[in-house]
Amino acid sequence: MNSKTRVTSILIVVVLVVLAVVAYKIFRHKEGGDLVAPPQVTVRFGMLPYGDHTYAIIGVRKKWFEEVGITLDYQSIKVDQAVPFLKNGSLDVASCPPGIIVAAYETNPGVGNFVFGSIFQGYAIMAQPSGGYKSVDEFIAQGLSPNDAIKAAANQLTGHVFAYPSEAAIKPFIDLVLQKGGVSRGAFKSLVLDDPLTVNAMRNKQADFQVGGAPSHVVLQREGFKPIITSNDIVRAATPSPDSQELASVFTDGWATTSEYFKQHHDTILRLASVNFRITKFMHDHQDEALALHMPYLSQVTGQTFSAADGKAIYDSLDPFFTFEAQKDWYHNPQSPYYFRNLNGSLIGSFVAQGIYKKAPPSVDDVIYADDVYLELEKLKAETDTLFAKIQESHVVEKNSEASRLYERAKYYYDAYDYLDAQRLAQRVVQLAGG
Amino acid sequence: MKRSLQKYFWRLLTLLAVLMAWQALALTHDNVQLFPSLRQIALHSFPSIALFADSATPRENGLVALRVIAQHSAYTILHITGGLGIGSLTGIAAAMAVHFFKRSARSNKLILTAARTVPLLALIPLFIYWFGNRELGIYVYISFGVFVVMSTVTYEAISGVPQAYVHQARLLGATRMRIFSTVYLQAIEPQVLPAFRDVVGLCWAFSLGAEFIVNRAGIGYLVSQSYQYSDMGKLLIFAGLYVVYGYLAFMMTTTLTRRIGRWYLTDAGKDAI
Repeated sequence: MNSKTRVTSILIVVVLVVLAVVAYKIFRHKEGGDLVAPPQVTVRFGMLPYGDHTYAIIGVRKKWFEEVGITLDYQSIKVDQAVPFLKNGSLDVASCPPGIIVAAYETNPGVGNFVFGSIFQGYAIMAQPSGGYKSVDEFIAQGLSPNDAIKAAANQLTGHVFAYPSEAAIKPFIDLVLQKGGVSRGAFKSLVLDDPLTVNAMRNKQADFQVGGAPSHVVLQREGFKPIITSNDIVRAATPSPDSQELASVFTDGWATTSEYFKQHHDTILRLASVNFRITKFMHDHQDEALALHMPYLSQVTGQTFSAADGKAIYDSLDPFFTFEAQKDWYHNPQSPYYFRNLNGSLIGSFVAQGIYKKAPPSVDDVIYADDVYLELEKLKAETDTLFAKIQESHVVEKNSEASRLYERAKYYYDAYDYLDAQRLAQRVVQLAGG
Repeated sequence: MKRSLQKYFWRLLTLLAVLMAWQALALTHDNVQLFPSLRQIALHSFPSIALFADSATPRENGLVALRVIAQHSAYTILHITGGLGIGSLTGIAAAMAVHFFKRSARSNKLILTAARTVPLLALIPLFIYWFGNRELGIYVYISFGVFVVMSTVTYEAISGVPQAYVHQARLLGATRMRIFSTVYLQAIEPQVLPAFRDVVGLCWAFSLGAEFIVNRAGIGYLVSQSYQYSDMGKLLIFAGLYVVYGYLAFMMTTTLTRRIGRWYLTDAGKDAI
């Protein structure tokens, strides 16, 4: 074979291989669901590298996403990537706080949280340990009222250097502390730096006080710096109202998506939400086992050692997780401070007060879809309960093996909070019973 | 041989001096989080790199840390190789196209100048939005950085080729292709090769920027995650890695440059590189 023929042959083979790969990608059979299993779908999922945003790994390790037909293509992302990656289609779902969605609303509307897992209450003003500064609890122990204690603690910033990052989510907390303390921004020297650099500013005593995200809180507390005012101190004075400014110092954390994805993949959204609730239930009932699955992944994405004890601190105080049942008040009780309109209304209000919106600000419904999902899951649950009652009355499972199989599967999905598939299968059993 | 040993001796001495200076800084500041000592770096920061490995029971381990570094180094080298190759070829080709397509010479020069003046750091947020978290974004970013340097140098080099050489070649009956390969390509070598060597060094900075933002894999990803938790020990180790890799890349490209350029390099010139 001469060289020209050889080159031509190689080129033909290369072109055929490329065409075969392209054809495979275009025409490959996407596995649909059978009668029992849900249809298979891949969800590209981004997680912020913090304890309150990596808990989806528990569902991955336990294969709960696979059980509801979801292949989770997960990765770690940065906080400033969450909204851009959702909007440009790099991700379908991202675990992120509502604060960044609200802050980005003017330029990137159409993103919202569809399910929540926890309440972040981990912001804290950290102080130099050698400065002799007192915490809110210490002022209360001296006899001051909670509001006076916050005022006294915040006034310690006067005349000192205060380091904080420029990220949007933390701004409401900072503004609230200064407002409650009656401290103007001119009363102290501001050092606005990236979160990790605020930590170094404290280490080299460039700053007397600092506030930052969870990583800096965890790092500084480990190194002996003292929290003097926390989110919990502020929220104790909160009234259950969207106008309550104190509520802006805490927020629910959960999973977000675009409005287009929410509409076009609604069943997938419901199944994702079900896995979220299954995970939080597991974290509540089997904390040690949850930590054994969660903390190694958190260590891997951060390069820091997160022990079970560190995880316990996250679960118990920094960022407690709430089950499906415990979240009932969030969507049904307007008198609860954590009612979704109160919490998120307060958050939006804090941004409006700072004048960040040139156009109309978002309403709670523009950035929160979680109420729709929760109420729909409740409705599906109620429908499934009715169907189960009919199935019991008909005794079809004793007579029909297929019905029995479907019924067992329906109950499994029901226990896993996947009320969509539980209802679907229960409906089929009722049909088999002639109902 | 003796001269070679002397050279390595002085390099080792310089390295030791740098390490001792750092240790002195660490001792005077006595702040292990901000200025970790060499002992802290060796016994704690380095083994803790193992935490980045995918493990059900993460723990600090020197061997696993080495594996993590090797794995992510391979990703970075892959990114750089891809970006360097694409950027160099397209940069040189673009410069030649700008020079040889005389009809649109002015607008071509304008496009090249515009590309050259775009600050690379400013492109990062745009790249996040265009490419998201895909590795393609890393390759494109590095390629663009290399493209800008190589196209500029190549254009200047081609513009400086004495036309007398071209005329002489034509008079001797050379075809356009032959003039291109034996006159232009040879004449631009003394400028393009050293620029290529310099851009290899710059590629490490480009890859750090790209991997820092598109955090999937690579040393830049490890730097990004270590920065989030203000882990100074790890940051120093990765800085050291970049120095070592940059130096090795410099040695390799110097050898390559000397070999290819032996027809025009004098002995003094070879020693100067």
